[in-house]
Amino acid sequence: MRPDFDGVDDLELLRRHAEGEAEAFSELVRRHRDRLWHVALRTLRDREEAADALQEALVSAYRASAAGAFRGDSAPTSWLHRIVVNACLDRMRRQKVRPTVPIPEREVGVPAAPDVTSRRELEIVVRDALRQLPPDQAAAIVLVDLEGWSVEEAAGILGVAPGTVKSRCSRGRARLLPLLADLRNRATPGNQPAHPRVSAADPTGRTSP
Amino acid sequence: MTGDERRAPAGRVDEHLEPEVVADLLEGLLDDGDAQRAVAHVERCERCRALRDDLAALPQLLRSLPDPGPVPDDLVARIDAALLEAKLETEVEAGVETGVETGLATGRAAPPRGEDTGSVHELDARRTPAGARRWGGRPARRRGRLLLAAAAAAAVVGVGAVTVPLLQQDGSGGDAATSAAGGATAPEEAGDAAGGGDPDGAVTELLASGRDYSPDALAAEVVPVAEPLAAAAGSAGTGPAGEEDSAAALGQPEGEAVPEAESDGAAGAAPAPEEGPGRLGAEELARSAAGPGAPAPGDVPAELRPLLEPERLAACLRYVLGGRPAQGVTVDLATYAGEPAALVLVPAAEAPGTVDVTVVRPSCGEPDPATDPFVVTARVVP
Repeated sequence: MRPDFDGVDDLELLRRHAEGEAEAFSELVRRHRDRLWHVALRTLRDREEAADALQEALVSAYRASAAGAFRGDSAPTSWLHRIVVNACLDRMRRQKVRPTVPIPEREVGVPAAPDVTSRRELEIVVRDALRQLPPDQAAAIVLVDLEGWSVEEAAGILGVAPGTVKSRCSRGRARLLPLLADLRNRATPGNQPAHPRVSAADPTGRTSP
Repeated sequence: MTGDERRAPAGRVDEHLEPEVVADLLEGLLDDGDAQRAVAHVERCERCRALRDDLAALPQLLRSLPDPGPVPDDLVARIDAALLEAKLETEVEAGVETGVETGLATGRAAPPRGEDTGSVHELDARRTPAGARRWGGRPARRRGRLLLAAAAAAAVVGVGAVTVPLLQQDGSGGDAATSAAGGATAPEEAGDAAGGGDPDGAVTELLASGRDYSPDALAAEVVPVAEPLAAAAGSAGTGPAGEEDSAAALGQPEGEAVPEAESDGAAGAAPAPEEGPGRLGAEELARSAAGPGAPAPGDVPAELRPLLEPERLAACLRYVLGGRPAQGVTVDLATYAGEPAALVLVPAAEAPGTVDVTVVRPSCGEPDPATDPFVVTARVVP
């Protein structure tokens, strides 16, 4: 039943979808959903929220594509990412609980080559820290630093100039670095903070990832 | 960069670089002079060198985080089901809309256009390119609702304070019944608090009512602000407009949001602003907002202050009006659902006495906003 889409490129899939072939869009989603999922997962508070955002964005993309609204002025992947990122940004902006954490003194840097277990831990720490950044900065960092998009590609996804992406990344990293050091210190047993800065019950998020 | 505590003692600013400055240096964002000074400082300052090295290592560190893995199976199933539902909806609409004629049903071809096309075509031509390109497209389903809303709007004129949600982005509302119920109990006192319109003065009224409009009671809350505007528009003696205007007003929420209408479908869709009697374009409207009556910046939510600039306000009005002239507008720089938002009220050209209110985010009028400024639009019958 399922048509064979081998050798059919993304643009062609969207074209066929606009002509009424719904399965072509499903194929496009199959190809890119994992990366889209990563973006949602890494920008939003929890898996449920990320799942909602991804589903909502893909349905929105489906309808747009079915209506022939994709105009080919960006790659289909960039276009899908843009829709997902916008859905995530909307949700991030609605999350008003983002704690404003005073930026701590920058005494400790981040080890350049963490071992595997600490990378797991670092992932949680990064997610917590990203949530404390302004959404625009967090999105830029997720796309460029975590997901490996080029600045130009990220600019296309975010709909801003490349210089704006650079600037958001720069500001975001400057904020992120001390947050990572701070959260990391607290995540390490025996290295309790003198004055907790995040009031969440479990700032490391390890019990409820 | 922000004047927080790290910056405080004057002497330290020279001693160590702000992290932002070091990050900008690494990104190549500093101008030559600043870059040279920063490099020179980093050369002789161990602490800032360590900071630079940490910042330089950060992207690579972030890139090395574990792969979060594929989409979980349950979510795959959810998405498949949601897409199937969207497919069925699209098919149903295609059937419904063929009854209205038009290319809306599939919309896959460039929207038809031309002087002689009906209002529905006009509507499609205006809406699709802008909405699609900013937000990835307005669902076809909403077009169907939009058409229904047009009928509903015509039906409720004169009934009282009623809103008809024409279009809603976030899906949090869109229920005409609840809005209408709220509208029936419009608070009387609010007219003064809002500052009211000025029927005899400037055609554009810029307010900072300080009010937090709620999605559930937008109708009631906006009536006091809309009343003077509707009255002023009515007194200008413009009779009901024709089909084209009808389409124009409905197409308004997104209008010609993207000025660079170079994409094929948008070409020719932008209506030439017809400067009819008493009707002005976005620029004139924005200009007339400036003056002694304008709110003090201190009264305006910080995010919305750029809209006090006539040029920026004009850009935002262009977004809302879609290039069409208006007899007057009232803009309230307030909040909606707790978020800073501008409420743009425009007399509905084809329905005298009614006002269309469009809620937009602070990014409205930015040359290339990262998010769609559009939140919701509704028709108010004060």
